[in-house]
Amino acid sequence: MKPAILNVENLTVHFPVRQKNTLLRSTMSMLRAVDGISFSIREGETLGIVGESGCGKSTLSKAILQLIKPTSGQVVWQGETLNELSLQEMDQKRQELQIIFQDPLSSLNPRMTIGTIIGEPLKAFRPQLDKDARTLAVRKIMAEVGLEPALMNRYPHEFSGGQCQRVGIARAMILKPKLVICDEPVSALDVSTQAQVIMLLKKLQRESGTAFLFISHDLSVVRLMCERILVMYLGRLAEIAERDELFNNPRHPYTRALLSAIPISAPQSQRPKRIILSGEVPSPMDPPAGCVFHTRCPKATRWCQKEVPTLQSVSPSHQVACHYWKDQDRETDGTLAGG
Amino acid sequence: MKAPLLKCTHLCAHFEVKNGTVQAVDDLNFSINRGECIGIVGESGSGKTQSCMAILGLLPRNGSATGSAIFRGQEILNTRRKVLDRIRGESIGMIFQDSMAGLTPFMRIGDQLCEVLIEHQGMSEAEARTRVLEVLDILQFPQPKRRLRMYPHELSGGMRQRVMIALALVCKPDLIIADEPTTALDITIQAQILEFFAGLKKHTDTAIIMITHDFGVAAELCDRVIVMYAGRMVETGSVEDIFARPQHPYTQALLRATPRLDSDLQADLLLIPGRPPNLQNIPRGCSFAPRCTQTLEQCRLERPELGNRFDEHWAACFVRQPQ
Repeated sequence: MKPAILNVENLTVHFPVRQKNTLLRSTMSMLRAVDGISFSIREGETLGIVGESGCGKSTLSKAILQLIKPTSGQVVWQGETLNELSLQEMDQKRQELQIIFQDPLSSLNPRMTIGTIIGEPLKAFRPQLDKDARTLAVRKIMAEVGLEPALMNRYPHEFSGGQCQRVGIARAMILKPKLVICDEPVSALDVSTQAQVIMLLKKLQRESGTAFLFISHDLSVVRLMCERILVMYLGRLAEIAERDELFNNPRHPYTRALLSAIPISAPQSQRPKRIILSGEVPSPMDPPAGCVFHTRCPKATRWCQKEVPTLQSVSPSHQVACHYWKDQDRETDGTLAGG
Repeated sequence: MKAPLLKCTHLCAHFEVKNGTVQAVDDLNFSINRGECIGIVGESGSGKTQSCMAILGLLPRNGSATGSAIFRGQEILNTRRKVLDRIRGESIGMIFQDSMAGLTPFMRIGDQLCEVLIEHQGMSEAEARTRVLEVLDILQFPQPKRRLRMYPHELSGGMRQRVMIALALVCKPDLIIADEPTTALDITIQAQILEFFAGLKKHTDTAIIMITHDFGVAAELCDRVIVMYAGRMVETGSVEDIFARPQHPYTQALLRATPRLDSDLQADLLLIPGRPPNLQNIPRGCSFAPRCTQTLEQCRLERPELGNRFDEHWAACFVRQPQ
């Protein structure tokens, strides 16, 4: 097994929010975006993070990159604790840690040409390279991500969504980083462009040896991309397991519900029974006591309302935060075969 | 045979822009019966939304529609504003994708919902309120009484989408047009909404046109599917046949480009080369020909018409798929 390059230990991000009670009085309360999450990523591995909007996926990724200061906990990158570094030291680390954003167009500067955008990281971190060497590197990476190098003098608005996403990928990959965080990289794309970008990321995964942290709400995409998958709910870790294990033997009721909620492109007869969760995700300003999922869980008991479930090991590579993980009925209600 | 609820023939929609005309919808023919659910599937820019906007007379100023749309025996395409106002909201309910843009931001949602009933069915405010609460109850809207006093921005996306659906439902319309009703929603909320539509289909004879880019959503709900590409219908058939034996290369490619939970992990997703054509300048032959892997010489010269393949299955392609 390869060594871990990133260790996230008990990471917590709370945002203070001012709430107006009356005209003159206001109180501060805490929005618990990420609440005590621990995991690690190994060299060259792709870890998927799945969850609904507002569960803290993006906050978690930004806290790893120190774009948001964590409230407590540690992010250990190759033996160094990132949240103890100074800004300058952290800036140096950014060449190893890159990010691809969800919205391809808004993450590109509209007044810079594609070539300048892709070459910008080189300018910042490889000052020894002259202009020609930079252009050469930009052309090379453009070809690698499937962009015509001749387009390097065009501006972002001249490109389609899929092409802009390729630019984002090229910019992230040009420094040969060790970890790339992909924050919903294909969610804004059409089916045919989505397939192109997924296949491109898979190719880079194979060829570059870079580790990816792949954030998505789409389990069928995550299944294609990731070796291990972490399921989040309301800022907490619900379940983490290897891909096949998670899809074939989910132990957390939330994971089961998520898996069964995916619309399947198959005639009605072949579809497993669906678990419909009632209600919506509670507010992270006022998370439920005990297990945060108990308000929507079909199997919740009074124990769940009182006590926060700790992370328990189903197997060395499979952890779940549920009091009743052992009693999840074994027949395949809602879970899907195959994988 | 009974006349269909809505029958569209030669429906076209185009937009005048600075340097020409955009042909957004090109010769669309379909009909829908009571109690039926049709899915219109395609990628963005394929004309799914604009075809429904054209039917409802909701095209922007620079757009115009031609052809015919007969709803309950009456021509509604480009008809008088007064007639359209009666039909919209009362007989045809429309659910828009963006629930924030579909609701008036400075009106309490209770007032918005009641207004429809007071306006269209001449109910008193109290009657309207009772009916609204009834509908919200069916939609499993939590704490409806309290929430009716709220403004749209105070609700979550899933909740707003329920208000949009309630808005389309309160007058018990014959036809509901739902434009990507679950696209902006989380997957567990999407499951709730799809479950609701399934119930609506089972218990009433409301017809539903479901516009979606997600084959999964179409498979879940629809009886028939229309696949659109570059403003044209390229294939239509029963939902089972569309998935089991798709006839048009575009449908086949789309299905194989979609990640599925049961797909083979070693196999790659199919890549469709190129991009959809510019709708200002659609190629002469088949509009999918430049991206198709099975082109004949004929494809680039002539536009294929919809041809019957089997039963009620039609495809616009020169290449006949082996059965």
